[in-house]
Amino acid sequence: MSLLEIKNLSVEFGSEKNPFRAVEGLDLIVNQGEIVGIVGESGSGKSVTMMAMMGLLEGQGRIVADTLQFDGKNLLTISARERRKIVGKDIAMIFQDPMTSLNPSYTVGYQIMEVLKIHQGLRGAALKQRALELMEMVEIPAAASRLNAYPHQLSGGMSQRVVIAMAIACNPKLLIADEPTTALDVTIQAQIMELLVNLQKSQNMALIMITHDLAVVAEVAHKVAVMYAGQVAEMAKVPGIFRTPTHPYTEALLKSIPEHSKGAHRLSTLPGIVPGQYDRPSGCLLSPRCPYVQDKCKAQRPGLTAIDGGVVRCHYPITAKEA
Amino acid sequence: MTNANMQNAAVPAEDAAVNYPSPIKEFWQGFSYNKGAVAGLIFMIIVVLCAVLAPLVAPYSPIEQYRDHLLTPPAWLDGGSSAFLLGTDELGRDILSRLIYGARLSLFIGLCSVLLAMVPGVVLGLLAAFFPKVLGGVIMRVMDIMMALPSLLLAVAIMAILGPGLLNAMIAIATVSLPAYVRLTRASAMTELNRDYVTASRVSGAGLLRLMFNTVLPNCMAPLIVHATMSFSSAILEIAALGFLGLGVQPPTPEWGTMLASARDYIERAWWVVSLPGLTILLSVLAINLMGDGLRDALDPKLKRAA
Repeated sequence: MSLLEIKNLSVEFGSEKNPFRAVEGLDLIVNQGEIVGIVGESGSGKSVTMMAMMGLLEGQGRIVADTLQFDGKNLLTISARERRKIVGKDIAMIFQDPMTSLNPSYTVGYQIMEVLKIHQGLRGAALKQRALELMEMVEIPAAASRLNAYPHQLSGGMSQRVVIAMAIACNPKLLIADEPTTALDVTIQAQIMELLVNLQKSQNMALIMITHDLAVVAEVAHKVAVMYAGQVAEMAKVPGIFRTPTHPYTEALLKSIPEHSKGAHRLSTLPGIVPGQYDRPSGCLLSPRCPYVQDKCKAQRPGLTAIDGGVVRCHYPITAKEA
Repeated sequence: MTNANMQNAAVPAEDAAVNYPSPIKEFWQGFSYNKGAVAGLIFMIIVVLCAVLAPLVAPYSPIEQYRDHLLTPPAWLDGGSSAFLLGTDELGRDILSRLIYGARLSLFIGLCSVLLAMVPGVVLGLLAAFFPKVLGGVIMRVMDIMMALPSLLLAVAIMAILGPGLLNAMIAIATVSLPAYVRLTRASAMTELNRDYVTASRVSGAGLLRLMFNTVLPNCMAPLIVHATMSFSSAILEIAALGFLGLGVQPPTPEWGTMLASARDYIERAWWVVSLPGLTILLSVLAINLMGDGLRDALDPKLKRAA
């Protein structure tokens, strides 16, 4: 059975009368030990999906789903107390900016140990031992002395390692990394990615990687979901999706990677922005920006169609056209 | 830096231990940078010591009346006596002793009214920040109403309802300064609530109380501590004002404000009876405010030099 199963998830914000759908009809299946990449522009609903799954949108957004199941438990009907037992222990999350994701008032050692104390009931010497072990697992040099450091005394890369150590403290089954390398410089990015992937392999966790960076996903992920305006535009296996993208949006994303424009005078871009609350087109959400737009696209919203090894939301998928 | 660290990691080196300065040392570095603050701190230490050791330090009892020495000028003036260093008041009581014993009461009142305002203020502020929709709105509107009234007038009104007395004076002053704490806590808690570490701690399963008091509150403490110091001094001023109006501490208990009030008839004949308690209030308030400035420099992360 799959570890995480999301079927037809929608998240709405705003009033009942005039709702804004941040996520619409999202399906996602993550199996144990699998790395899934979720990519898309800012505001396409990547983070909101994960927040909704963990019940962090309480009182803000309305969440509707056919299935929202983690490890055999229904996250929709579960009580807040039950959810808190799962979230943090079996599901852990890494955030974008390491500088704000640690509590500035406590030492990093205290923060790691707090998680262990509460979720695993460790005490005394065993607690300290495990905290040290975790710090060493994430390759923090001089770990013993850094247990007493405050977050402002650590560099960004070092803080992100601490955040990762906290996330893997309870051997989670699912680790969600929400743009874990965006706030770091390129050399540290590579180190952190390598660390994450190594940990994923050694702990056999499932890893959901939310990112803007297609290159990151291309190297490590097994499966990629491309999101656009709250919908999955295309979901397919790697490397297939990168060799033969079927959705015009995926193709445009790939084209806009700087390395692909070598020698060209201008970087290839997709004009326009993601539609907001008030300017959603009635047809395909990409239709105002799509280079292959046709009349049917402007009139009718496409559903998901199965393609080789995945799904695509397009009336005229690219490979179908070529075939 | 990181490259060096990575090499260290490759060669498992024990000697790469890093010694971070302790938080107290870091705090002292920031605080001692401000010379005025250090001066204020020294003055306040002296005042606190005097207050604590009053029976040992004070030459006489504060309520003992020396009828032969009514309105004796301070020792350095004509007619002064070295037996009464700062002179005596209209009933022949030694002013120095009364000031020293008065410090006890003034500081105690200041501390109590700060605590009485801070504890409920922090709780209400956190509640307002965590439940912004209904509860927060109600709390903040009530605070707005309290802020709309002039503070001394409100304090006098509360005293009028509760009746004069020490405890009632503290309650009145605490009530008056409550809205500032609520607003301050709510504002800083709301900024902190949007930080990732709060979400992170929710992700790791923290409950509401833990989030409120363990995660968010310590990060709101810096402005609160600074404000508490500042309002400590205004509490002393307000208690003095209430005492002056005859609503605070009742005579013969020595208290700076009451001393001022009972001596105002003699302001032309014996200036020291009025000026010395006034000067004491002034200096203590100034010292506390200077200290507050230093605390802000040391605690406010926005002013902290990059670590």
